[in-house]
Amino acid sequence: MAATALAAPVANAAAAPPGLPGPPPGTGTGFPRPPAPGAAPGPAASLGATTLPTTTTGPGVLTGFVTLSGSSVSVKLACAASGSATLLGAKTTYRCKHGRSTATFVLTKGQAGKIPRLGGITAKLTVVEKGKTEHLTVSVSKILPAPPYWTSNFGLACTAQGSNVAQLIAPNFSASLATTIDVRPWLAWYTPSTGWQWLGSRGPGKSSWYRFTATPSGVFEWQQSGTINPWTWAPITVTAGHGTYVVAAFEAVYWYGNPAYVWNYAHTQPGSLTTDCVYP
Amino acid sequence: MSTRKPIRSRFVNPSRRVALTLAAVATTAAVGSAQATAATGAPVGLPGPPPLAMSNYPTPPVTGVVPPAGPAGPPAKVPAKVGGGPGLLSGVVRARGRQVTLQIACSGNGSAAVSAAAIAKGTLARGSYTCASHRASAQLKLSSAAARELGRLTSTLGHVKLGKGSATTQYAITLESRPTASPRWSDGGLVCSFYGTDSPMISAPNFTVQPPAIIDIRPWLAFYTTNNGWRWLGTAGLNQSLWYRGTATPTGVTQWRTLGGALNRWTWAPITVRPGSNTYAIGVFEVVYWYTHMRYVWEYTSSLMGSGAKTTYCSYP
Repeated sequence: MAATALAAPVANAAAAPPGLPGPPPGTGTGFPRPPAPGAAPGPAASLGATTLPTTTTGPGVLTGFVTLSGSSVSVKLACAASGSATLLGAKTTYRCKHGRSTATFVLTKGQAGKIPRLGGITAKLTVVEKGKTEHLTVSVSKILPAPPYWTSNFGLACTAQGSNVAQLIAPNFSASLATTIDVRPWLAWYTPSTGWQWLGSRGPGKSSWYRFTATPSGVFEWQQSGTINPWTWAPITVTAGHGTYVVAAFEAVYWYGNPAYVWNYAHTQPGSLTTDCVYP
Repeated sequence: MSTRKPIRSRFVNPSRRVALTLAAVATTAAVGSAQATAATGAPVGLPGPPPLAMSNYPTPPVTGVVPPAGPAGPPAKVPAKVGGGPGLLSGVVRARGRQVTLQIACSGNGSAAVSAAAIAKGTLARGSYTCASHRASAQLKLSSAAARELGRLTSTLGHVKLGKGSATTQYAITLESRPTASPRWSDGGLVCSFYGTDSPMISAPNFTVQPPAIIDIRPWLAFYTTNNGWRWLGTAGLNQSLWYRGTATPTGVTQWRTLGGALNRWTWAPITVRPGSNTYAIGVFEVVYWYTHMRYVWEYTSSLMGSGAKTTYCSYP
């Protein structure tokens, strides 16, 4: 469950995202039912071929980590039209110009005071554009937090199967006390015209839980005769020519007596650890 | 089943040994000394014993038969309607001398009667109450002999009948002469808001005993609202719950351990509380240990907040 921070996103490309995508959509909700008493996880099949979309169903954030300034919070959006947005009960409208907009929310003093005390919060961001409602999730804090990463070196291999074909290998989840875990995988992809968008195993904005046993030496079900066969999602094809950035994230529920939930990004490996995979 | 001597447990975790009793003998429970929640409308006291305490026992296990891992508790909703009968504001009732006071959530006048099999057969005291603004206080008087016997026992399982005519409701109570510590399982608990702000789950304690024994556990959720007082939800509905069987060992329940070494306890989830109902809740587990002589105990669970902190009740404003 330990996480470690990496440096700020690689931003050498002109169209690089200004920040990471923040928490996955619906963070901390939609949990599966606990494992049945004594029931060991069944086989969890890896995911097969996927092509990242090039179009979106709605606006996306330019970064999902936003800061509180006084009582106001500004969220930068990649948009297609002007619209309205709601964050923590605060409503606002925004004007879309050249595919960019900033939605500024004024929180109550009580809400604004609570955020630094809690060390930051995860909040639902609802955006309505062209009459269509989009549910996003952002992290709101007084000071930008270090992005959380799973410690396992497994993760998103950018060009594992070709220059535009990635492979996601789930982190080798470990826990000091063996426990059943449920894991939900995500890919976040960014282009200058779409902002950050989320793709799960069930499509855009939707993903499924996969059940395993985390032990002190990693996932029990993946260990076979001295080798490890982790859960994978591959091949992931990225259409060239869109200036796409990709990161992966995993949510996990640890089924202790008092269950614990955590989400982190997976490491990205184009040869050495970086923040995201880049596909010009 | 007739001795009055409490049995000192040797099968519960040594750090948490509790005085156990046989059926029809004194059982323990007590008022929490300090409620974690001071919000308006918070319960006056703990709910006391579950409604079927020391009754409706399961069938003893068949010799040599190892129980399979049973099912988890089904998804459940804390009901908005619990019937029109009165409820108790606290299921822990302390006698002051011969005087016993029952604090009641009510919708009309009625009568109250207290009994406790360990003290005497039949009704120990009865009286009437007047309901005003949904609250009543029934003042009952024990006989001198009953008060003396309660003083000797310190605490015992009792029952109260509240209401009027056909609308009479019975509850189990802890009748005590002095405050005693509230029994609480050392792990597991009611996880207040795991599935959402108003959606808790219950996680069973990993029962450890020496020597190993077949056990039956019966889970409960006691829930409190200002209008209804304490009520009981089991896995089979209001005032009804099922027994779940396993094998308790010095390292926990055998059936809950998976091949990979994980502990998949008995759970009950998700439980949904009606939003905005200003509800308080606490979990309870009854356990029967199938030694040569059956042994029974019930205890509250801790209530576990998101931060991991333990509190007395989960609260749902």
